[in-house]
Amino acid sequence: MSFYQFALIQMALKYDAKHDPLGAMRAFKTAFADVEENPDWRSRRLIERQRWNPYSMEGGSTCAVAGDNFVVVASDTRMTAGEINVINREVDKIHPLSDNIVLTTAGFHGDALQMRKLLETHLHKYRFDYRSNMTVDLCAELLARNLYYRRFFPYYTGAILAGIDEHGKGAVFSYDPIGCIERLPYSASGAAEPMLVPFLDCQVGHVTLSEGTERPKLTLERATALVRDAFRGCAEREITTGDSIHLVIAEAGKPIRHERRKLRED
Amino acid sequence: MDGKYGGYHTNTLNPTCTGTSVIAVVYDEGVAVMSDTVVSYGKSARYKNVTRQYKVNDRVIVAFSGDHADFHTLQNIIERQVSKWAVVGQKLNPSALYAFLTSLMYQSRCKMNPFWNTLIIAGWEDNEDGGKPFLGHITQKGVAFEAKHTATGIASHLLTQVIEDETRDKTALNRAKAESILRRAVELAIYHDCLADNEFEIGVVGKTEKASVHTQKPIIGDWSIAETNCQYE
Repeated sequence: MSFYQFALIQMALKYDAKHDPLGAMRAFKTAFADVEENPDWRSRRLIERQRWNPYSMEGGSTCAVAGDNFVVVASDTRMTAGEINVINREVDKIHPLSDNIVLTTAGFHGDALQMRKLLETHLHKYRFDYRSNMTVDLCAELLARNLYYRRFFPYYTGAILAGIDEHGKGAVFSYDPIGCIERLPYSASGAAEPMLVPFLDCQVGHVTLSEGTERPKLTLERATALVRDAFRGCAEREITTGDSIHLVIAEAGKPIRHERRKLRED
Repeated sequence: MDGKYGGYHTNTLNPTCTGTSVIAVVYDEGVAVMSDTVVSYGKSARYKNVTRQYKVNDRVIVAFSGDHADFHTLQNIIERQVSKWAVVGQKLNPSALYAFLTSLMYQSRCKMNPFWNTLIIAGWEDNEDGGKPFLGHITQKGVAFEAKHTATGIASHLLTQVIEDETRDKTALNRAKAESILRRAVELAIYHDCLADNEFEIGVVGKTEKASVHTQKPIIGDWSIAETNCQYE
């Protein structure tokens, strides 16, 4: 019995049924209705859990690899509902925001759309105010702050921001849903993150490679090939990843390039 | 409503009178949308001959599944948007309405007071090179995407594969073929979805056709199996 119910019943007992029968009845009814509405077994936490869930996960995975003067961003194009139902096979989850900034997402697509709109608006306003394009470092900080702004109702997007920084180097920024930010040489997010990260750790970071093994330099060709292989592997083992890979390649001083390859569709 | 004891605000989070699946297919010069015309109250077929397709103007149709009352509100909101555009002498085009409704659905989700609908926006998008068909899908939570074919509700589980098989690798799908695919989908829907009905409508909007919704001849289907399969409790 909750304290509240206890207090109500105490209140009911206070009434003397002989002298104030109506008051006693009212108090009893209130207590009774409360017990019916909030039974003991239905704790606050349970009520919370039974509430409507404003999030849905659309699956899919994404990753980004930074090089000396390029960055490769990849994502699959499948959209799923409830893990088993493929609702679309050609959704773009990579959003080029400007000539040198690319946003990629894997998570709740509604938030992803909103976040893209938000960043595009900010970038547009920046261009208007300062008459120059925002650098990727600034945009990364902007995104982090916007994520943290929604600390108590987070954007569940699994965002990665990639681009070419002002020194012409590839940059990848990784986030958690509430705006913790880190600049990394490579990052992955989404449903197949636990598969992509160890692969990239081994092949790009060379951290889990045996001693004496060849450690080739990361060229653009190698990066795109690795990313393609990574997604081919994920499509085999992760059900919400598949259909096709969308690759976005940004090179210093060159326009952004798009590439699409088929993946398995089952 | 204020909670009687807690005093906190609660929103209605259950649909009452609902419509089941909508299925839509893009063909070479337009879009065809199918929805049945029954309003369910729980599992009972409460009202019949109620349309679930709203013709916004000559080139846009919005179809929905989910709560009817919520859609009436949306219809009102869309109407206001149409007149706003009319003030500046513009006709609402499908992609604009799609963007507007996406934001609207997302906003109400953020207020934890969602519209209990999945929307299908079908239309013909005019542009310099002769225009193109438009088909958009928006969920209750503001997840939106454009597609070549799409389905809502139970049909998205059962029938998307059927439609995909029919439409895949066929570059030129014409209106007659698209409608026959939808009829096949209705037949499968009435076999498998207890809320689906055999009285249905097909809305069409295309390059030459102005947006219009047509009531179709009911599909009876083949129930001969019922004679042999009588495992009623």
